[in-house]
Amino acid sequence: MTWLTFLIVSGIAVIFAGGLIFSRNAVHGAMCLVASFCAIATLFLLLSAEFIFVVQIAVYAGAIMVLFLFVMMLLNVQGQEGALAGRAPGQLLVALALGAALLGQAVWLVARGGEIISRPARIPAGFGSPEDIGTALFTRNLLPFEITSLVLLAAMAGAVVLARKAGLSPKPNGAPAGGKPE
Amino acid sequence: MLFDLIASFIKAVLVFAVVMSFVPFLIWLERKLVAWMQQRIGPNRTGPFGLLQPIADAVKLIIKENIFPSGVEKITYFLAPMMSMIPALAAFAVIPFGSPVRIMGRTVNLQVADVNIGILYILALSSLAVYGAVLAGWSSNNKYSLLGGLRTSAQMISYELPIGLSVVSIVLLTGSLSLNEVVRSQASHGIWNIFPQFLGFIILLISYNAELNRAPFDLGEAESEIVAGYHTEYSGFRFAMFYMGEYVNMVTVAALVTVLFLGGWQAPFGPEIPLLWFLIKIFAFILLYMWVRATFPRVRYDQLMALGWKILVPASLANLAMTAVIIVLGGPNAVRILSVGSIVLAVLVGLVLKAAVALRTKSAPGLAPPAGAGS
Amino acid sequence: MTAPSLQIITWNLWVSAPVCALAASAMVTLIAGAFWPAFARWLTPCLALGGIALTAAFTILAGMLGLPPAGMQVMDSFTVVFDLIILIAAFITVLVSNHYVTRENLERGEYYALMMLSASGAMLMAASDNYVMMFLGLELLSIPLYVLAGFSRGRSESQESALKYLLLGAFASAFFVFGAALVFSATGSTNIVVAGDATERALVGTTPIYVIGLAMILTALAFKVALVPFHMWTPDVYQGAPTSVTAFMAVVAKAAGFGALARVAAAGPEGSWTVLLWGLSAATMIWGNLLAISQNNIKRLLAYSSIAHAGYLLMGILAGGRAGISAVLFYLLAYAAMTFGAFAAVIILAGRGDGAEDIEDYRGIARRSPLLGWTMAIFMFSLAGLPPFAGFFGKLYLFSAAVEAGYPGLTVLAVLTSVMGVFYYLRVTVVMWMQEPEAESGPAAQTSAPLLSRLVLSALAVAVLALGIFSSPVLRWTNSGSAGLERSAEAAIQMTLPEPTNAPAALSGGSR
Repeated sequence: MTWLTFLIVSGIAVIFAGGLIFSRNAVHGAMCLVASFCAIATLFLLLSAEFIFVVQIAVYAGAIMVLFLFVMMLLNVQGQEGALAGRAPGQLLVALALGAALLGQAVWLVARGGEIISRPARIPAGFGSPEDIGTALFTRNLLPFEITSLVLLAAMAGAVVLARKAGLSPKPNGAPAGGKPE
Repeated sequence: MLFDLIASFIKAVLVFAVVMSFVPFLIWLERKLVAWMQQRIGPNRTGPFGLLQPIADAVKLIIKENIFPSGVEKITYFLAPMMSMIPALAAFAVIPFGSPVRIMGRTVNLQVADVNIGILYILALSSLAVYGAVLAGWSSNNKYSLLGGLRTSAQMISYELPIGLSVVSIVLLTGSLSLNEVVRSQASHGIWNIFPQFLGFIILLISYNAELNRAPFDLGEAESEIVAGYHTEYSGFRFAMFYMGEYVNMVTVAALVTVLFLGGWQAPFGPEIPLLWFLIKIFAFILLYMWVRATFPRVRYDQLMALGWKILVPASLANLAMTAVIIVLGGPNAVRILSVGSIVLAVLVGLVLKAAVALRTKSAPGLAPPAGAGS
Repeated sequence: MTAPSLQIITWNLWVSAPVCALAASAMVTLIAGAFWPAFARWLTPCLALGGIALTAAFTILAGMLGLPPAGMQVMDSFTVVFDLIILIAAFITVLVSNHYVTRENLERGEYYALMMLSASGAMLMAASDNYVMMFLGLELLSIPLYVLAGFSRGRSESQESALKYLLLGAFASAFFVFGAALVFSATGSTNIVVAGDATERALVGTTPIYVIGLAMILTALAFKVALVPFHMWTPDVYQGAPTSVTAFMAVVAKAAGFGALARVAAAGPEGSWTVLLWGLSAATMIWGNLLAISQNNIKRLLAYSSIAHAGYLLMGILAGGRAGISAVLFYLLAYAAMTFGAFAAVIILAGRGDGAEDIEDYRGIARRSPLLGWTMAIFMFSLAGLPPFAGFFGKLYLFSAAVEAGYPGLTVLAVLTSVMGVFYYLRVTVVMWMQEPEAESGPAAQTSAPLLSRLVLSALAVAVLALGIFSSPVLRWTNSGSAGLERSAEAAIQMTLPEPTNAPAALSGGSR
């Protein structure tokens, strides 16, 4: 039962990931990615990691991709500027070769997984539950967690600096630094 | 196993049927109520008191021709109405609508699925609900639709923050993410969450009004500005799906607020009759939303954003901080202290707001757009 | 509603005190700049200087306590030396920036705040003994730099610089994360030392996954410090970014990258790892010096020069051990002084709008301003590695460490490329001192500068000289730093910190 669900869900994930790559329309690509995210979230559910399932949907499918779509619509990305437009000569060949290499590597790793990964992951009961993640985040990893907020602060301040209208062009010397209309 | 499967199936079908059959009734109710408040008559031709009017409308919309206006992005145009309705229906799955009952010697939760992360599940689905509006707006190939879609998505993303932050305060109070547990903890505290989380309740009410895209926050479909917003180009059954989605959403939100703040299915007084009190509370909220719609004029878009980011987010952060501090320091009395503190905080926020508005109106009339826009 | 019974703070808070102090000062600066824009011109740099000084005090205090590794961060003497180098660099950046941001109208509270956040990221990178922490440090270092590179929004070069840096930097960060994930999957630990130790003890030969992961991490760090062949972005970004930001990037970002490299390299496997570092170092020295020769723009020249110096620094990392790391620390200090000096001079010379950035624009400038002429000559001589300046002794220590560690071939290469370097550094001096000024050619270079800038310039020149003449006490200090790196590596192995990976015991503490 679990095995069957896994096959179906991961099949969906792969199909939509392919859809993302091959769709010429940016919005279709984004929608395929959303579907793929949802399928991957379901994979987490199969690992009984409900919390990660929800976070995957809420953060990736619900927040990040909506912002992506938002930007695409504001910039009005048209269908012609799809993924396959304007590629360099020979790019396809190189990409295919590298992709084949990666695929071969992946197959090799899966086939000999036990030998190569020294300690195959054992998933303890309650893995991915809100309690587990909360405990891990707020005890051992408290410092990285707080540093992440610093990173976000820096990114936010930076985005505001770059996007603010006032001061778009260099002002004559002596003008106040505030946002006074000129 | 088989019993559980069958029980789940029956519950799912029942919930779906009940919620969907609410919709025509609610449409009729809203039309009648708003008409009454505006001293009109409202629908009164089809059936007694016009009760059959929504049925007639539905039949009309369903048998209409399916039109793909020229220039629309067909796949997305086709999918968008579904994507606006499915999350609303799916969210109802985790809402408990009664205390567990015993059937054939087994306990059955009156809830389609008792997942231990129900609250997060609802938040995740409500963040997916944005797609319907966004994709409808984009695929219609119409500038007003696009504007409506953009407005709606920005609005919904912005108001998810205060919703999430207010819900987190409830989670702190409950100590669990399961909605069943939320109801039970309210019983064990002996007081509904509306008292220790008064400010959170107000914030959630306002934010959900915006999340539902209902007046006075229906900027995405403001007919005086952008025709009908993201569903301008829709007609027939696809339009009906948007319309139904809105009402299903309203039922879901009312049920959620009932569970989070009003003790779910518990009776405030008298005997606990299954479903009765739950339905009464839901209807109270729905009536409140209708009343709000009939009362307030539509706000301006920058006012909407300012309300969300400058007032509701800080207020819900303050509420969260207060809740956390009192729970840690207050020990067993935390809920009682919070009941006082929450009302004090709400009054405080109100006073600050009043002072801020007074200051604003002194310098510039109205909630003016941020200075420095011109350069 | 159970009261939390977890112990949340499990490490000595003094370990994190310096970074916290700097980040808090950055926030104060940010808020001050936002709420009192009228005073931002003098208030924000003063707050920034105060914050950096406070952080330095915290660093020294924390260093004296002799704290054990905290599981994510270490406060050993290596961290102390490194943090102080970064703080000194940040301090000088603020002083150097003051004139520049006033002239170019970049005055905003966010400028200094972002710079301080970036510096705190640099400190985190050097202080982390965990890949998770190191990645966050890398991001905290980089994100403000992306913004700062595009800070003068009126100039399209600045925007190009920011975009290039952002895209390639994000790519490099992705390499780091993927590499860390591979290391984690191979060893079950994100701790740098523990992961390295696990592969050495438990396995028949190092696993390919661990090596691939480490190579990816090396790629990301090599991008940050601009090693060939990951240097493509450097000239464009350095040229387009505001000059004060370029100086900061050239020193602090590079120092942070080498701090992280020193931590990673200490745990790196033998064999393939040393071959990689050897090749990178050699390629960087040759290519950086070769391309620097043909540059006409002074900022591009300094960019290639910084690439070349990264090659020398990598030699020290490769040599490793007490002498190698100590030499790296000393060289970083010397490099900071001379690079800042060169950029401070360029800031003055370029004039409003950064008009005069070509070397030819500086003809005969020494006659008009002996101060600029002399100081620039000192910085160039030092960068070229001529005695008795700091650059010479820095190279001397690096080269001798490399020879002792058994890399004579690389050292010969380094000496040869240094000779190549003399050519283009001296060319700047020759243009400034020996050529006649041409009145009509291009935008004229400026020589006038406020008193503060001239003071900073002189102080840096004196520092370059002093670091050269009094190099042995400084070397003793950096020696203590490299000794700390060794000690904390041993301590980490002995402690073998509880790892969250496959150990449910560490996770289940909070479930009720």
